[in-house]
Amino acid sequence: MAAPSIRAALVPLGPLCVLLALPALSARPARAEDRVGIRGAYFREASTRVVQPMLEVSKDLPGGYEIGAQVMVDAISSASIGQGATVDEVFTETRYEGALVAGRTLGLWKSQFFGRMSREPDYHSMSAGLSLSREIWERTGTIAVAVAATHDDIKPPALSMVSEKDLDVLFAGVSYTQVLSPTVVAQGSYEFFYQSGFMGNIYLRHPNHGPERLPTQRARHALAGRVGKFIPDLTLGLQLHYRFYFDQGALTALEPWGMTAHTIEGRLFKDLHRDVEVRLSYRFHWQGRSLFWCNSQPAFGGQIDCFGTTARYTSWDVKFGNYTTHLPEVKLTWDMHGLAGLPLLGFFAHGSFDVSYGYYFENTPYGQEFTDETAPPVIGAIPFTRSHGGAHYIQTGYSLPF
Amino acid sequence: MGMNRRQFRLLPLLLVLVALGGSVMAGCAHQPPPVKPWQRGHLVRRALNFDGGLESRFRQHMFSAREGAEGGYGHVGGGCGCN
Repeated sequence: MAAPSIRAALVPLGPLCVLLALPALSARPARAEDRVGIRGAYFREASTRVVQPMLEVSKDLPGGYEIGAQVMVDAISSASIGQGATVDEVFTETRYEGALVAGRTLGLWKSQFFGRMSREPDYHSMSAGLSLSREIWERTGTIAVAVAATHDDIKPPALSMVSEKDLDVLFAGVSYTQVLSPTVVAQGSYEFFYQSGFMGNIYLRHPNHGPERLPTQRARHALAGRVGKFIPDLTLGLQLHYRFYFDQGALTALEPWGMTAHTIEGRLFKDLHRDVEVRLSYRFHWQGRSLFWCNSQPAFGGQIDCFGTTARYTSWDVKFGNYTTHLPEVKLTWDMHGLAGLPLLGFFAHGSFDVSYGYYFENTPYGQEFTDETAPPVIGAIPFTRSHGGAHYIQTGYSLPF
Repeated sequence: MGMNRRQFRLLPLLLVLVALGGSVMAGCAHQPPPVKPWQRGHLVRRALNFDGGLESRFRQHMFSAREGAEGGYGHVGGGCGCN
């Protein structure tokens, strides 16, 4: 798994970043619809470090047309314990993702098309989709529908003795957003995914049963509701999100999947200053196991022989089991109006900068103690045994209209 | 702890409720809108917008690699990046 360092992996993005940033450096007056944004994420759990830089640019064209592009790199150093690693073998694997978006707004209607391609050494993915939305009730409501299709090719390393596999996903979603008052907005949505193909992990092996054997069909449903409220006198905003998820083996039967999940998130927004806002949030996720899965990991309180000898499906992946996660997070957003009039820096005054930090608590092997003697220090220089059970998660971004 | 058959049979009821909700919304369209154009000043606040853009996409990518549930946030997956 010898591979270039994260820095080397990001080098090819340099000229592309300059090219895509050129429109932002032009001297034209600012328009809210043309926008360039850069964003980076850093994820650090007991064994895994992930760095994800991304660049996005969108531009309006005459006739109501718009175009946009996104480029992302996903640089991962070392596989996580939850993905089958038994020691923290440090390497760097990179995933490159590019997407193009084209759309048109015509009166109350808006249509959009996207195509996306993702490449990493063992996983190639292509997606395309369409969305259509319409504003109703004197533009206080928006109803939107979307469809998409994805094809993934899973390409195991030559020495793994595992054959190539693929996965097809069909997606359909509908959402309705309604302004209920000058300070209250609500949204409801339903999304459906139909997956066909290999849904396991080519690197996971059960000690008794070998490579994962999983169902090849899965219908996934997600119902979500959101409400937002702003209190002008306190310059305080509140959001509440709820999602209910369940999946099936076929449209007429739950088996062998039958997973359910509830996810709830609360967010509090508060102006600290005319241009600075803080957001405090907490996300809770609970999920029940799939019907075919049993916990066979002794280190995680399971019994290694729980699948018996005749099980049709077997998996070592805790992602199909019961567990909960928690994500408290704090985010600061700075609308940089205060830079207006300053030499050089004044150019950035129309943009906004944000940074967030969260800690992801997991009661799964993803977050268990891990002897991490060879990992390079990335933040904090503590490359030894971990005693916590979660992950640090940092995001930062800057967005500028041009 | 998965969904049992009794809950599964409630799904048609859920779909009826969704259709009923749609009908109510359609009826509302004959009422005056809840917000006049000059009352929209606060609607640009971040607390009243649910489209998280790139930030939300990054988060969902992390969750989809760690959790068994997916969807509900308007993002279509693609690519693994799931180490």
